[in-house]
Amino acid sequence: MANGNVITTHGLTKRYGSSITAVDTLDLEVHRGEVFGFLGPNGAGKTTTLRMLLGLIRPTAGSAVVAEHRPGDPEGLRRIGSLVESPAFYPYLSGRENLKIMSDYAGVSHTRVDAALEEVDLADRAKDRFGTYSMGMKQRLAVAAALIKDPEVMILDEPTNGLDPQGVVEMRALIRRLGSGNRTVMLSSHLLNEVQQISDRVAIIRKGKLVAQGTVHELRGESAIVVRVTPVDAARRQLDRMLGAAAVTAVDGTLRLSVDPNKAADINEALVGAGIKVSELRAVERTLEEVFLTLTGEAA
Amino acid sequence: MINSFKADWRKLRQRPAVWVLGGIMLTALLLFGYVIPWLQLAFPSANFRPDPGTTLQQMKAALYPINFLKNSLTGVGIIGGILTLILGALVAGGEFNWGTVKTVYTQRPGRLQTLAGQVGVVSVIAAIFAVAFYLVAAAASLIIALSDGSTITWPAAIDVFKALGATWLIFESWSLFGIALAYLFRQSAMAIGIGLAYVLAIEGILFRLLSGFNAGWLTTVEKFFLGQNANALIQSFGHTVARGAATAPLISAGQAVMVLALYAIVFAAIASLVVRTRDVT
Repeated sequence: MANGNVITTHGLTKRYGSSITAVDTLDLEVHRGEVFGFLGPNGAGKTTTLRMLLGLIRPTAGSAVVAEHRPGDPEGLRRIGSLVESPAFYPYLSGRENLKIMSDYAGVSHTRVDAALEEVDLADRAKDRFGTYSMGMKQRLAVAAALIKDPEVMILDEPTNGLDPQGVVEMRALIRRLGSGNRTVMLSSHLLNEVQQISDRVAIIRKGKLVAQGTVHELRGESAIVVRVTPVDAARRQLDRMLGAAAVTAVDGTLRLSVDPNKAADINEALVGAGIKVSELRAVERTLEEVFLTLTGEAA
Repeated sequence: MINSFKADWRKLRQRPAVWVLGGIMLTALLLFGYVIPWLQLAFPSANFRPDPGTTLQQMKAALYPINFLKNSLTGVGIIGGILTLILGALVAGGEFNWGTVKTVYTQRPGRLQTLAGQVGVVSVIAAIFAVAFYLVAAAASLIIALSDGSTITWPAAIDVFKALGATWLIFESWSLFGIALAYLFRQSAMAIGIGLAYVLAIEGILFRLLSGFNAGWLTTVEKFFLGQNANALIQSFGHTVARGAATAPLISAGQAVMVLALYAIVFAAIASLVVRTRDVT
């Protein structure tokens, strides 16, 4: 981990038979201490990738290193907390007993169990059987199970699946807390707005292949200002002088200005001062969802 | 291994199905081994006739403490085997049914250590079942002997230990059969179904078919069926009441022990291979 990567994959590939390639020569780098969003449409290979990183599935080709160990290595798993798809525990046991079992498997003291339950706000229902829990409580118990090892890496597969809006907000806050400090969090999600809000960097895969990897800002690209003005030619000359011709593009009767949206007031003042009528002036930023839909070819 | 054992012990000691199976086994032992036979002998109907060559008193004596090992093992031992097969299938298959296999495998221990802990705990439960089996049989036989005013004589301690060991081995081999089936089919229902079909039908059919051939090697094959060897080990403890001239058993007790131990090892090896190589999807 001298290079600061907690998770690295090189050419990671998983094929089923000769016709299905679930993950195709995937190269990923997840840096220490970051929240890393892992995005892709259904069937893109996200869960297969995460399962390979946890040693649940063996890759057909390529390699991966997670927390300085090969996937599935007991010493590596000691440093990884995970939630893979739906949370799975023993329904006849209480939340606390389930966590004690997981701490036995992990070889850590039961004293961490209550702290983990507190962390996910489940202490008051810890005595109840897992089978009676709501989906949100089950998800939170799964996060608590990941926390009892005090892991340096957390791998969360669709942690907001099945949660109601309140549950999503709570889970988002929880993931933010988990990702603070030196802990690294890698999460896959369909909720792009959630990922955009909490991730430092993201990777997008499509049909098993990596199509983009970088910071959220890098992927969203430059922000801009769109103005609708009359007359357009006079406005363009004014803006060319003010911003440089390269920053001004005509698009469908409007002018798109590649500048910091914070300059909107200055631009408005300059145009009005030059006798140009401004009927619309707005900042435009591509959302991660727009980037995602463009890159995965799912845009309408 | 120790961590996995602790986790599985915590898990299984609280699982109702485990103790329900044990309860069924002990209930079957009490009912079919003691209560019903004693009622038949204590209050014989007008049509009741002792088994040929035996007296009513001899048949009653079969229920007394001196015979509690033979009576319980020959009468109900096979039911215990079937129930421990179900136990093994439930323990291993439950992890797939609930999806907990992925939760467990992403904790610390390796897959084989997890399996070893599971097999260890099932072995302990099989031992608890075996001990409980004979404690209940001994208690039932004591009550019957006291109620009949008979003198109390117990089998030799070495015979008790032999019976305990044999019963544990039978339970262990059947439970490992259930575990191996559950890992192969990744569920408990199919494992229990196939296991019961084998115990109750498939082996018997195969045994009858092979018996129809007059080839020496087929007779040898017959000596290596799981159920045949479990039965041979049970029968090696003898019958409570002599019935006609004794015939030489097809399988000796020594061979049965060896074959059952071999089956336990093979089933554990099959489960290990599946656990080690299969993806958890």
